Amino acid sequence: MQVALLALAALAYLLAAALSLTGLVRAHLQPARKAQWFTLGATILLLASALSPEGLHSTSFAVTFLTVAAAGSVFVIQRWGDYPVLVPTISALACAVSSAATLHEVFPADFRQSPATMVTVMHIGATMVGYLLFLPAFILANLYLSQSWRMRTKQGLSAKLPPLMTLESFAWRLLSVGFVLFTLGILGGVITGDPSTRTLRPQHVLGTLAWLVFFGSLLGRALVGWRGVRAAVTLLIGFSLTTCVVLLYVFR
Amino acid sequence: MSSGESPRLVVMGLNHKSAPVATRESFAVPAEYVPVLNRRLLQLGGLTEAMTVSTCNRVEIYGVSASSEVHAREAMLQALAVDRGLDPQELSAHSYFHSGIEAQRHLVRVCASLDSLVVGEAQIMAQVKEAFQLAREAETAGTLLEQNVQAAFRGGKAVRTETGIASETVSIGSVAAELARRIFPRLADSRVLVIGAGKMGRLTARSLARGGIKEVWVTNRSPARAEALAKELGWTAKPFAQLDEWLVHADVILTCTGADRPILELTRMRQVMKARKHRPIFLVDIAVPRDISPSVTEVDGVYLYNIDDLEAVSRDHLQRRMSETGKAEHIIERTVSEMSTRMAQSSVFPVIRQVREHTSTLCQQELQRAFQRKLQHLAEEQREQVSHTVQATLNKLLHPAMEALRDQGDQRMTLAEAARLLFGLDYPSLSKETP
Repeated sequence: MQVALLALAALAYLLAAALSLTGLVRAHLQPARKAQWFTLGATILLLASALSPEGLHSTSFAVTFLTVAAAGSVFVIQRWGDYPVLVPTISALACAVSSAATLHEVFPADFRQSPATMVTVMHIGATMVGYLLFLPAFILANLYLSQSWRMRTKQGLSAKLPPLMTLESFAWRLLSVGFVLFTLGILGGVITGDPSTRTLRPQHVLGTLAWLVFFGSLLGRALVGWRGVRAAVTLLIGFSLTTCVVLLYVFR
Repeated sequence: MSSGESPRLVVMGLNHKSAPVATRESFAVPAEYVPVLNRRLLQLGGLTEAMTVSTCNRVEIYGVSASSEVHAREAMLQALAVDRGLDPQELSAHSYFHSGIEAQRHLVRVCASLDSLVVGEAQIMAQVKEAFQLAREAETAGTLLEQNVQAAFRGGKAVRTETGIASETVSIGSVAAELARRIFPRLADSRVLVIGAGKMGRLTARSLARGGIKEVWVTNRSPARAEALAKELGWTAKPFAQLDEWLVHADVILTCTGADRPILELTRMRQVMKARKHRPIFLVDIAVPRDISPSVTEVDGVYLYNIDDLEAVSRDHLQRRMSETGKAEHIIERTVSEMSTRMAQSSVFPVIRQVREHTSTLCQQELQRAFQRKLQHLAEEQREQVSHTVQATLNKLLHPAMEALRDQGDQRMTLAEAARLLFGLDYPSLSKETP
């Protein structure tokens, strides 16, 4: 039952994120308002899974509970005013958490300890540092989306934040550096993995997906100058996928 | 002739609140006439110091007067109206007069721009400084006026730095420049393209240019008008036929044509943004009817503000300024309190000096007389001791008086009370008879 609840929650969060991100790109408030109900439903499902007999003893309990608290508070905050960037951000991250928890329950024996060699250290270290660089990039992208929204909806901008182009530029610089380290980390993982046990695991699939999302957006930016709200949204998606991968290791 | 009152600051004038623009225009004082007016005010006798502030929204005379309010007011009416062949009754009907603390408060409020048409505007302090400079050059500004004006400048500066009264821009052009700064990190590296040669567009573009933008292009269906505007303002004229090319390279587009249909639409902007590699673009549409179709905001990276949007931001900024007036009033009261204390002390210090000089002179005279007659037998050293003792006694006698003058010199009281205070005497008990 826990797995079913987690899977449904992940799906609902995914729908909420997709709906609210569409609204963000088009500068319409209506999709974000509808997405709130999906977020609420997903949060209830996630809470139910966390409080189920299996959920209470699961390694993912703490993170799941924190996610419920965060998603629930977003719903409360939205009662006071419209914060269009909050719903897609939290929904995407909550989707990552519930997806990771679901995959962990479905593929529980899928993490095997690799021998602690230099390559293993490089694999883990580079990936984590890359992820840590993705985090501020993600925050900057959120700030960019928030400011861009305010500008497009004529609400005026906060003078305390840097200009839009500065936010975007720094986010992409951090992403670029983080991407290099992330790539090195993935290569390290490919090298360090035991060939006899190489199968397609969830963290590999999600990690590759995240890598492709980042690669595509960086390439698009370099070749055709892809930028703006849509580019920031892909950064958000990539970060959520990477978070899911990290959580899969945390939950083992 | 002085009525014996202590000198105080007085002000008489009219502003945008008390008089319509036609009245303000008629009483406005040209810059070249200001020194003449200031000197005339002193000649008339009601004021000992004078300064005239004449701007588009106010005409005010600040002065120091030791005579009655009536006399000071008459002098101001005479100089500002009668001497210039204007109607003093019209001036009386639309003017205000303040004296003492009220005048000081008014001066500080003016310098702090709380009395301005646009609260928080920056020009008024410079205008008052210029007026004071003219008064100094005409030798009509003395110590007391200078003290008050400098204190008002300090208060005005404190209001601007300690509150948010001047933190947000309110003119349309400044708002547009501020919004552009929120998008582009270095406005100086951005280009503005002005489409149209209308008056509003010109004013807004100039505000944008004042915000730091170095390169301004102008284009118009009529090349001659574009050339004329470009030449007048040092901008670059561009042919209208290649508008798409200019749109690709400009970062801020300001439109103010008289076109009855939009000149920038969704399809065109999509192509422009693709050619720009989706670098953000800021569109300012101040034309009515609008030059830019609202649907262009669907394109990522396009930010559009029309005249209504800019006015809404401006109103919001003005409201925020107004919400800071409470804090500003506290600072003003603090400044006025300091000004009053200094003004009171200023009138007392000459008295203290006179008392000391007078008593010292009397003391020296009596000692000299004594040393020449009954005490001529005393040696030099003994004479010094006697002088020293007499001086010490005099200082002790004067000490409470000097302190009382310094601390309470501006207080009104009966002579008997003043004598007790000055000589440090205790009040007699009720049971004792007083001589």
